[in-house]
Amino acid sequence: MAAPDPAPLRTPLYDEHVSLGGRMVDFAGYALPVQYGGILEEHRAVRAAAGLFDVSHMAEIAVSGPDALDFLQRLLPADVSRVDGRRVVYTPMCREDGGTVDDLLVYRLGPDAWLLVVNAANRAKDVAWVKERADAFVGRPSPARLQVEDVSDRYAQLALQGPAAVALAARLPGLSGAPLLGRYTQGSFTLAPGAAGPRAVDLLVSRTGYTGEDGLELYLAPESAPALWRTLLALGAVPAGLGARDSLRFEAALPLYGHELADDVTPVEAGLVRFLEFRKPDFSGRAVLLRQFTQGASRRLVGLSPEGRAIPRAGCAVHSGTRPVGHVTSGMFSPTLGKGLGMALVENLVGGAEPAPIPDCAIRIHDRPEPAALVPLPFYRRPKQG
Amino acid sequence: MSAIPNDRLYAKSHEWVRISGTLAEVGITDHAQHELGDLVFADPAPVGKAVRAGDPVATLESVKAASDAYAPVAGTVAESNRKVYDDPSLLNSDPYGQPLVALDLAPGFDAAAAGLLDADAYAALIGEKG
Repeated sequence: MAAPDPAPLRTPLYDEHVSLGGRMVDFAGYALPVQYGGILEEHRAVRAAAGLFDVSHMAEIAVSGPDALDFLQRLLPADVSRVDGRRVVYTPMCREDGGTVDDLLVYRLGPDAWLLVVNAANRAKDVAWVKERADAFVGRPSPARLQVEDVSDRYAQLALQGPAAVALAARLPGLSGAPLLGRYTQGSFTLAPGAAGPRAVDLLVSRTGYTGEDGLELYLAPESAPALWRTLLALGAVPAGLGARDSLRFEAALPLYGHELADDVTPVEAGLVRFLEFRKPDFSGRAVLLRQFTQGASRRLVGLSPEGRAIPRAGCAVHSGTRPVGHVTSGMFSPTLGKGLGMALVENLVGGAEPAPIPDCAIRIHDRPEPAALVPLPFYRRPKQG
Repeated sequence: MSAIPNDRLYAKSHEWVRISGTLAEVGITDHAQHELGDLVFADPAPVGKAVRAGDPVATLESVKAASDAYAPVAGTVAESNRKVYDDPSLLNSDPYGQPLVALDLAPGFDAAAAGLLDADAYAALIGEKG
């Protein structure tokens, strides 16, 4: 008999969500709002101005010690030496067979200290994976030279996203320098008393996000998170839930682990080659990934747009004529484009940089073949500013 | 929450049915549209389709998920509401004013035997005052 699911954990902002009328669901073991007012309205607020998400469920793993950089260079396909305290790096984390354990952001916290921000659903798996690889890396446990620690409980995270997000954050006392952060950079700030409670509060600010818009991800101590949340809402940010987070990342074709990425899907198949640093002589998965990159992977992620009004959903089969060639990994109604779209992992019989065409492509939706066109990813790109 | 109209009957699966003569309009309740969230696709069954009680009469999709609306009673689709196909958000804004379909009831239809709820019973089902 399967054990019943344990009661979902609460983020530090649980009471805020409930008081705002958030519709709470269990996501990766956490009670989080799927929406407050409505997904479309929240989606549009992020595309047009600024939305605020509670992403405190995300997990953090600290990797530190004199051997940490060498270890991370072996663990991850990105060039971690670029993570210099300013630059933030997005990277998949791969098994030796190229399959994806998770995708994550790497931050620098000190001369010998890095922080990996990973998906909540993968927290236990990732911590075990990184610890196991660390033990194997040093040959024997060597706590003095390399430490791996799950520090998730030390961080709450808010994502402030949208074209107005950075200017809005700069109105927080102590954060006037936030607009100086370039895209994909980090900075440490101290919020003045009043911004997040009566005391000054340390804040790690990252100009990153998961929406396809400009924006910030803010890391701070859990006990200060509710006050900062309320301050940002008072400044005009619109609270947004998991539903909008998913529809926004979908339009921007940002991968969702368990959909576009999985233990048996490689980053090359998922179209993430630009995040792999093949000039590094060795990293977990390099041989397989390099072979897929140079010789072509047998399948790849594509964008599909049905000709009619049907909406593809994850799991729908993709056919070329009558032959099944793959499946939809994520599919939904795109609020910005006003139609149903899908990302799909499909056979890729022809090598090369561009996805092979799919003759007579159709997605089976509600048991009907719906003709669909191959379209470039991402579906949505934010307008260039200035 | 808007009031639950007492000029019609309700199914436990959150459809309403308004019977006049041999015609039965079928739609979704305010509770249903609220649970579904912003509707972005609605495809009512075509005219001429015969349905049994419990068969789908429309495919409904919100941003996040797809679901069906079911026929509370058996019949043949006499009218299919193309307005909600063209603008599914009408189901969010006016669930009781926008039927999905109108069914021609089978001869000998007996509303009392159909196992439907009145407005008060439906209000109790969803934990709301009628």
